[in-house]
Formats: sequence, structure tokens, C-alpha cells
Amino acid sequence: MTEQVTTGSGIWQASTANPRRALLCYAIGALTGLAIAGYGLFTASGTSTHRLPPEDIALVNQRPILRSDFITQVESETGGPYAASTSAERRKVFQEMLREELLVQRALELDFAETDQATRNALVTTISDQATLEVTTNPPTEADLAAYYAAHRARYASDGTMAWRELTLPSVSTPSPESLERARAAVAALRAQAPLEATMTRFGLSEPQRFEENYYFAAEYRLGASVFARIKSLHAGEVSDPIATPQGLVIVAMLANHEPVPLSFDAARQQVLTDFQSAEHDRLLTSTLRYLRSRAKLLVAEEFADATQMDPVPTAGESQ
Amino acid sequence: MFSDRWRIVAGVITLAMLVAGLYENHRNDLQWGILTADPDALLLDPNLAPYALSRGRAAYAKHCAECHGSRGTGDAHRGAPALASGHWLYGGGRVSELEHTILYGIRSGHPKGWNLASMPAFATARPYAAYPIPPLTPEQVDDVTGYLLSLRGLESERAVAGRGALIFHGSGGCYDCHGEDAKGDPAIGAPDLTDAYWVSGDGSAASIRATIGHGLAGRCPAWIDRLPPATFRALAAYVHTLPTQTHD
Repeated sequence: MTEQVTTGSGIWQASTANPRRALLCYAIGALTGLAIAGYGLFTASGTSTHRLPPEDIALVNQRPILRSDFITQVESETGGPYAASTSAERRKVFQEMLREELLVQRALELDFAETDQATRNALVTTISDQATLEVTTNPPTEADLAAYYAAHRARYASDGTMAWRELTLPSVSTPSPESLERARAAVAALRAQAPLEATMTRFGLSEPQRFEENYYFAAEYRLGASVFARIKSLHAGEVSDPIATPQGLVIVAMLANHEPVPLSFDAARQQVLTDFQSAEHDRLLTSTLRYLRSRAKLLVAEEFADATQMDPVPTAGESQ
Repeated sequence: MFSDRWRIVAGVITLAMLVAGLYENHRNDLQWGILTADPDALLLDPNLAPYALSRGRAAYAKHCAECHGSRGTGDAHRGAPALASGHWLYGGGRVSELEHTILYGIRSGHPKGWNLASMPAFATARPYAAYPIPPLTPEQVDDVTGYLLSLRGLESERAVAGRGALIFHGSGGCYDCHGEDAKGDPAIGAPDLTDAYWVSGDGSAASIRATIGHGLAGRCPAWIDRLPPATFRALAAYVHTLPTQTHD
């Protein structure tokens, strides 16, 4: 079978092949493509859609207002289910949301993030929360949690509690040998089961404050770290040696001491999860800051020239 | 020019494409339908409900079952609420409310997520991160535990429950979230403490004591950027039906 090739007046005759027509079609196609691309480029309208996605109630400069957000806002403002809201109420909320979006976009144009402190605070919080978002959307495996538990086993124990009496032999400065001797004698009497009140009277001891049984952290707060460290291993019924403090010589009589009991992974799992997620949050925030710092062009005043190392990020608890 | 065999192949391909096109068109119609419907009325629509539930069931199995259980029975040991229990921490379990939670999560880090309050850890030096509240002593924790047990008619010394009530309604500030009647507040995710359902633990004295002591701040991810819009509405519809589903 042979094909007839014609030129000239038969150029648009579809039944015959024609090289000039083919070239012309190619050229028209190429020019049309270039014209569309050029229009898109030079009108700078970008890629935009003229069809509203079903999940949105509006697109404001291509920024969606979600139908779900609209429903939540209607319910929040009317105090009832969406189905019970009137058309006027919905219209009012719609107008409000539209207005908000327009004003937010205007605020972005005016770069309020640069000048408005409240906006800056909100943005910092939001970016910090992004780390939480990462953590919650990528939950740890049981193996991750078990490894974290194993690495921080000391943290996971039941709450230690203690009840104590704190007796003081007041002194204005460094305890004298006589007062030290008197305190030792009081300790000896208490250890020999002498009644506490009578011993206090006999040796001139005072009890500035008396506390009920409390958790270790509270006992440490009441007694002070140094006294607490000296007495935390005393058993019920035991009496400490005299401990020198700025307030005088302190003697602690332990009434009850329930030491923390290590918790199994199973028992501590919830706490492990919380701690793991907090640690992950801090890690992600630190690495984000490190990355931002590495790509930032920083010009630092001379007095801070040595502050090139990044300070640690406050823990999640502290930053709240 | 073409043999009969090729004509048949071309015909079959064309037909398959036509069927696929029609199916896709139907699916698009259903997606459009569930997205534009009032979410709370979605399950009343006989055309949309089966598609929404089927799509929601698949998404639930993939994304939610790990924590909440394949049948929505939850895991009180891990503090994952039982969605099939009919006790909703946030809102009343309507599809629109569930959709909001699925979209933005709980303490998820998303600015629109539920993050108004969490249960303080009263056996720590700083029970609440957001603002200062005083810790409780072990005896006070026991008293509040006794009070909460008494609310469910369980055995508790009258004096202990009385002291616990004073702490609950006074210095402990428990009433602030759980309400004067201890029935909770779905606007901030504070659970009802008077019923038999417990988000975390088994409602025993030991587990209540542990919750008061160590606090609670469960989290649910925000799915807004991870699922297509039709899926989170379908998922909300499916979760809404969990309390009424029967299993063999």
C-alpha cells in the first residue's frame, strides 16, 4: 500500500498525508503552549483552582476555610448542634471567618510577625508545639519505651514517704563543743527510748515546725537538701546524729520511712511514655534550633563572640 | 488493518476503562457527598452511610486500633479511652465533635487541638506546669481517693471521705475541672468521676491514688495533614457508631 503525498492547495485535506500541515500543527501547538506558560508566568497568578474542594466552605486567595472548622465555630457560637443553627447564624459565622482570614492575610502582608510581640510569642509557641506534633504523630514502639525505661530505671519507683520530728538546738554561729556535746547526749537519750517531749525539755531542744507524713520531695523541701541527704536512709524509730545547719544543730527522729519501691516497666509504662515524649520533644526542638542556627547568617556583637554554642533548650515542663 | 483479536482486546480495554471511570465517578460522588453533608446527619443518609462506615472502618483499623483496640475497647492500662464505651471525654460523641478531635488531636501540638487542661501530678513538687498549684500530702491523696470511692458507693471511711470532699472542693481545686458534682466537663476533657468507667486504671483505690499522684495527660495525634478529608469524616462516623456495634 502506498500513501499519496501532496503539497500546495491540498494541505488541509485529511485523507492525504502532508508534511507542511504536520509542521504547521506542531508549530501551532508549540506556540499555544508557550503562550499559556507565558501568561501564567507573567500574570504571576500561580497555580490556582477555580473549583471549591468539597471539604472547604471557602478559598480565600487559595487559602482554605475548612467546613469542619466552620461547623465547630457555628456550634461554639450558637451553643448547640450545627443542624439546629439557623441560616442567619451560619451566614454570620461565615462572614466572621471570611473576615478573619482576610485580616490574617493582610497582617502577613504587613509582616506583623516582625513588629508585634503578641504575634511573635504566638509563633514561637506554635513552632515549639510543632515538635510535639512530630512526637504525637510518630508514637514510640514498645521496644523504644522499654529501652528508655532500662536507661532511666532509677526514675521509676513508687513515691517514697516519711514522717519525722525535727528537733533543733539553736545556736547563733558555729556550734560550741558544749552544745555539740549536749546534742549528742540528747541523741543518746532518744536512742535509749527516752520519751521525746521529756528529752526536749531536758536538753533544751525546740521544734520550730511539725509536719505530717509527706513525700520525699516535700520532706527535702522542709528539711533542706543537706539534712535530707543525711536522714533519708534512717528507718522508723531511728535518730540521726546532730547535723550542723545555719539554724543550729538539728536532730531528726524518724517516725516512718517508706522508701521508694522500683516499679516494673508494666507498672511505670504510662509515666515512661510521658517522659519519653517529653525527651523527644526537647530533642526535636534542639535539633530544629541547631539546624536553623546552622543555616542562619549570624553577625554577633563582640561581647557575645564566644557564645557560639547553643544553650540547651528548656525542658517541655519548664517551657510551658 | 487490525485483526479481530486486536479489536476484541481494544474493546475489552475500553470497556474496563469505562467501568473504572464510572466507578471512580461514583466514588467521587460519594466522597463529595460525605464532605458536603452535615456530619451529624451523615449516617442517616442511606447512600452515604455504608460508604462512610466502610471507609472509616478501614482507616480505624490502620490508624486507631493500635491504641484504642480493634473494637474500641481502649486500654485503661495505657490511658487510651474506650471509644466503644459511649463515655466521651471531649464533647458528646457527635460526628462533628469526633471529627474535630481526629483533625486536630488532643495535646497534639496542633494549635487547634484540645489542650485546655491536664490532670496535675499532686505527688510532685510542681504538680502543674501551666501555673502553680500546691502539692498534696500522702494523707490528702488518700482522703481524696476515699472521697472518690464514696461517690460510687464503695466502702470508704466517713471521716476520710469527709476530709477528701473538703480537699476536692477546696485546696485541691479538683472541682475546677471535674465540677462540683464530680461529673466532669466534656468541654475540657475532664472525666466523670462518679461512674464506673475509668480512662486510666481500674477505678480501684490504688489506681486512683496513682493517678492523683502522677497525673495524666493523654495524647492523640492530629491527623489533618496525614489523611484525606473524606477519610477523617468517615473515621469520625465510624467511631461514632462504635458504642452501638455488636461483636460476636
